Amino acid sequence: MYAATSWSDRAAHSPAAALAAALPPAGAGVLPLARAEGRLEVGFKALAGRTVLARLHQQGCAKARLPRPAAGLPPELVMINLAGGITGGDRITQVLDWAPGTHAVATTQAAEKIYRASRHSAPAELDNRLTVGARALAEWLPQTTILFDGARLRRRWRAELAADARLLAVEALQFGRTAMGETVRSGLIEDSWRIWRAGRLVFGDGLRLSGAIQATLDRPAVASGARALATVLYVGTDAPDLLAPVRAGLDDARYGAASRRGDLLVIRLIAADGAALQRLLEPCLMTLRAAAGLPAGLPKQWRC
Amino acid sequence: MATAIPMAMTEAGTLYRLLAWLSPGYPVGAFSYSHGLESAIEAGFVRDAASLILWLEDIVTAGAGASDATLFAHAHRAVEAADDAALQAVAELAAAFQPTAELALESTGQGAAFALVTAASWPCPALTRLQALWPGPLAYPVAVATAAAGHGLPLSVSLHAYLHGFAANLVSAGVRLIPLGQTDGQRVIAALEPAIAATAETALVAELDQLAGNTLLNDWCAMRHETQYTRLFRS
Repeated sequence: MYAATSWSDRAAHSPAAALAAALPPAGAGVLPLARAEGRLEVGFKALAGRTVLARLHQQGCAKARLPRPAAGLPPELVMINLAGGITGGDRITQVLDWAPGTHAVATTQAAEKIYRASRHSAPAELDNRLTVGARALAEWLPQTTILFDGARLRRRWRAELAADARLLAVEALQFGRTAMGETVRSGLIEDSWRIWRAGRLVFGDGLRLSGAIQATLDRPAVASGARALATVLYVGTDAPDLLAPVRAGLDDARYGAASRRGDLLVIRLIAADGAALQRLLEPCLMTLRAAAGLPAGLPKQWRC
Repeated sequence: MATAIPMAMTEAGTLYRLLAWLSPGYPVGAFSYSHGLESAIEAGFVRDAASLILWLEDIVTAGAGASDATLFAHAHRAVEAADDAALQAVAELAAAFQPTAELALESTGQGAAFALVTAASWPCPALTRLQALWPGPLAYPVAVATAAAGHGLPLSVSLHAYLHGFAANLVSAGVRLIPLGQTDGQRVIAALEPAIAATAETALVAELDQLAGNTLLNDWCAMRHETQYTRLFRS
């Protein structure tokens, strides 16, 4: 079940792994850890007014399931990492396509945990690519990513939308399980976002926290000591109408705010810990989805 | 580095242009933007010279200062190499790499004004070329970098001048808003020198694909500024 390829297998076709393998081992007699690799490809198509699976390709640790949706609700693709967490050197690629006229939600089975990477391993690399066709609605609602001390993660997220496609995407990050007294003193997170609409780049964003993560989060203009962050994005011709209700919902929220540029809505949420972030994020998403005329409720997985 | 042009002439011409273009007197409307600082002061994050230094260090090293510097370096190199595709890609990314509407206005408002004034008073083929290649919203660092490279001004010193102008404008906003005395304002500018030097140095080797920052609370401030009741600034 684990997509653990041997170190030498991976070194053969991964420059990063090859470089890491060329470095001296962390300690005598320590065997290199097996790394996880996975690739998920999913396509949705419209069939008789409903959205159904057009294609599903699963390789390595990347799996997905699509429970039968309740009547009137869009299908929820549940992305699963069988390796049960991410560590240094892991590589997962997820390619999702929404054909014209489809509406489906992509979520994850659980909060993705990014564990400490060994000193000589490359950062984990997660690559997400979405294409959304005409009149389609893509919802990217994974659960929170939790970073542990020493985690090293590099993520790329790319979405190509048709001119009249819609997108709702959220990415939530939590630094350590603070309720359990954990802290993330050091590590690396690099998140890179790009959205193209009708072939034109409409949004680029990048988050980098590297080295002394906790000390950086304590900086005033970074997070003033907060330990959980989320960005919510919405693209659609109705974005201008959504700004007011979303802002009204965030009125008393420290710290949540929204801005709109053209047909793009950007929401930043910053909270003391994961639980506080969830208390900001869930109502915010529900307000946004209601204002956009989407079915009430959040992915069932979020309630597990 | 070795050219037929005497070094003193080059330095004088470089200084003359950079001091003109990046002085508060250059009509790009810089005085009307605070980059969210007006909101950060209202929210109590910035109260005095010491907290202004900490706040601006973040903006310079890990916020728009750092991302503008990376975009600046790539635009400058693209002009030097006469690489139209690269220049267009930088211009497109710079226009899209804007987390809030007012921060986008701050960058593209100044970028458009800079291109207009510079095309009229310091024309160069590179700037004309940029406007033909990229008719979309023009980010400020891309406009300045294009003019600098178009006039043969070296990257490193141009980038330092750009970052100094960016930071000095925010200090000026802080002086007016907190308020601070003029001497305190200069103390803040002096204190920011290492942050600006480090940011410029990092930007010279930064990949465009890895453009990133982390000043999320400043984004929050910039977003809140859009609905702030009493406001003097446009961002």
